[in-house]
Amino acid sequence: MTAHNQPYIPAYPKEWINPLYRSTPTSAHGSIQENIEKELEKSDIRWLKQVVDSLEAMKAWPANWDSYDSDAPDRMAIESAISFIKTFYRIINLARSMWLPPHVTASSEGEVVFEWWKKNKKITLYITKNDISFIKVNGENIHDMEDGVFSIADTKNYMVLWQWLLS
Amino acid sequence: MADDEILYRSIRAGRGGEYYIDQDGILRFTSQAFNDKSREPSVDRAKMRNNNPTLSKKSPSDGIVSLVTSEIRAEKVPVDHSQNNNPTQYILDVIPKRLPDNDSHAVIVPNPEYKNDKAYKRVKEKLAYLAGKHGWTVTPME
Repeated sequence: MTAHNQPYIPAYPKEWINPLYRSTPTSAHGSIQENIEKELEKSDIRWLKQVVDSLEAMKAWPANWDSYDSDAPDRMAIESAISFIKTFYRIINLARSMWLPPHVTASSEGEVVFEWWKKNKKITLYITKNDISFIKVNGENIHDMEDGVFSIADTKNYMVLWQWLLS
Repeated sequence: MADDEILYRSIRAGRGGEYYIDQDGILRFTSQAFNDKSREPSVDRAKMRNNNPTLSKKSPSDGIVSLVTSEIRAEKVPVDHSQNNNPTQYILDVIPKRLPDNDSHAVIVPNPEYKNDKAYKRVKEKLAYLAGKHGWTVTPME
């Protein structure tokens, strides 16, 4: 689904992928950035590159991209989503918890949408340029769904949401 | 419309992929497969399509899922307190809404109208769940 001729390599801080950083000495085997890029190609972080590529490609989606009159994805929301998913992964990774790559799409209102499923549970996150809201789905009953605003300021919120999905 | 009427919804295979195989190999439909700017997602009435789901594809590569009218009507969306002095519970219905080029067209509507996007987002989750429960009526072409 990428729309780029050149692959997008996110230049995130090395501590975001601490284990990889520690395992890649700088002088004998190239620079840290080169090693990170190599690891991106072969490691489980390949998903991150794919997600970022998908989000970048979303910037080219026109209005009515789905033939249901949806707005074009908001570019500021896309930038927020790229930043958010890196932070989310960093927090989960540092906690040594299992990570699941999200499904990435957009809403009719130009929000970026991340979705994760685990058995009967599902999390949907709607990302705008200003905020993030969530829906927790636990089975088919609408009454059992829970929604709210996700506060990105407190790292505990990421873990609480993730542990709910995996529990 | 009768409760037992079957409804078709076209599911895109391309941009914004509306379905997904999860890490456990399970077919999942994204809630965004039921996006609609007017919050009235479109469906086709199967019997008005001569029970031929391929006629409901929006593009040749699309897949089709089937929903049952009664499943949608059975749903009551929880009380919405966002309008503080006027809490609302929405009841869903499916009503015919013919288009110039599509006599089978119908829409999934709430009663009363949504006051905000929050309840509709839950409804989209429900519709995606129902689609997943039934699986493909017509598989998409990758």
